[in-house]
Amino acid sequence: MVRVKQRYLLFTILYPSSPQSTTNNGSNSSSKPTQSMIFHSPSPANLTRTSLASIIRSSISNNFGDWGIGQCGSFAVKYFSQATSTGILRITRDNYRTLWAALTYVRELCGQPAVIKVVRVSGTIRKAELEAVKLAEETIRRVKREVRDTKSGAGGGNGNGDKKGVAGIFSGGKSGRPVTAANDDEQDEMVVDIVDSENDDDDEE
Amino acid sequence: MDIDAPQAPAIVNANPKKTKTGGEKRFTVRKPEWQYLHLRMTFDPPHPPTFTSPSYPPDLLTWKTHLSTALNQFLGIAGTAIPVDFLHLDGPEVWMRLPREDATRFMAAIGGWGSEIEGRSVGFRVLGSTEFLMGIVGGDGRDIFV
Repeated sequence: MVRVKQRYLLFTILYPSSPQSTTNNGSNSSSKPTQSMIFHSPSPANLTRTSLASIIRSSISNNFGDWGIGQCGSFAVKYFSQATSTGILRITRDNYRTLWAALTYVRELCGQPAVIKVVRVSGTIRKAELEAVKLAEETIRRVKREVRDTKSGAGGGNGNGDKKGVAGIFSGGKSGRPVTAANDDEQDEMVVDIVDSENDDDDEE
Repeated sequence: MDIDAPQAPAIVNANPKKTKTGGEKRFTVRKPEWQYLHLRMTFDPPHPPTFTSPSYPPDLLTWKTHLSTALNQFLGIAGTAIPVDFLHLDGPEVWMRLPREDATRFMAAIGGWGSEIEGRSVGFRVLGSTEFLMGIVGGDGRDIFV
């Protein structure tokens, strides 16, 4: 008996311009969103696993026709989180490049321009999940750093705060504040909630 | 295009006089760049032998339109991106040239296509497919050297 080999594609959706929901949130809080907050903003609520699947399927059909649908129409959206705009797709190993190409050709989601970026291709869903958690942590850390830097740059009257902010930008924030970064890690531990794929229904597509 | 020239035969030192000077050179063309196709547009019910009208025999733009429709259905945008050169138009038949790597999927796409135009069902038939133009021009090519 030969096992069917699969590939799991971890992807994130990037929004070059701020979607509607983020602008509302931004106006509520006092600080305006930084660039990476806009880029990694949450997806609209009507973008679900099923609607995402139909968008991807229409992209495959448009770019690769009946042949493409026949080859990789059997993909499954194993996981999608609107909060982090991150998801995992499952596809047979021979066809993952076609699916990847179709993802790349998606230009807008729910009426707003978007880019789907494949972050990792993995043979097991476990590794893709781990990468998703790591990715979310990194994103939050980066956003926090940016917010802190802009605050210290604008609000801090003394020159010391300014210097710290600039140094943080150039060092990538690594050497500047190792202690706070470690604290951030603990706080962000529970941000991403990955569904248990083993109990997931594979054949919902 | 890969041209595979065989290595020069090892020179046998024992009998140097037997090595040919200026003998025949052989090479094998392994992966030609182009594939040449001979296609016919088929109509059902067929046109009478001497029938002509503004839409028959089809002109090259009609050919291009129908081929693009077929390719778009089967292969999507990726299929319409296959570059096609029409070499010769002869009644409902055409000679054309396309990259060799795309020939298989091209023939699969147009072979499975059918449509209804002016009350007749239209399709394509591949009459010939070859890596060298001589294959569809016909003959054994000997008349060139006469």
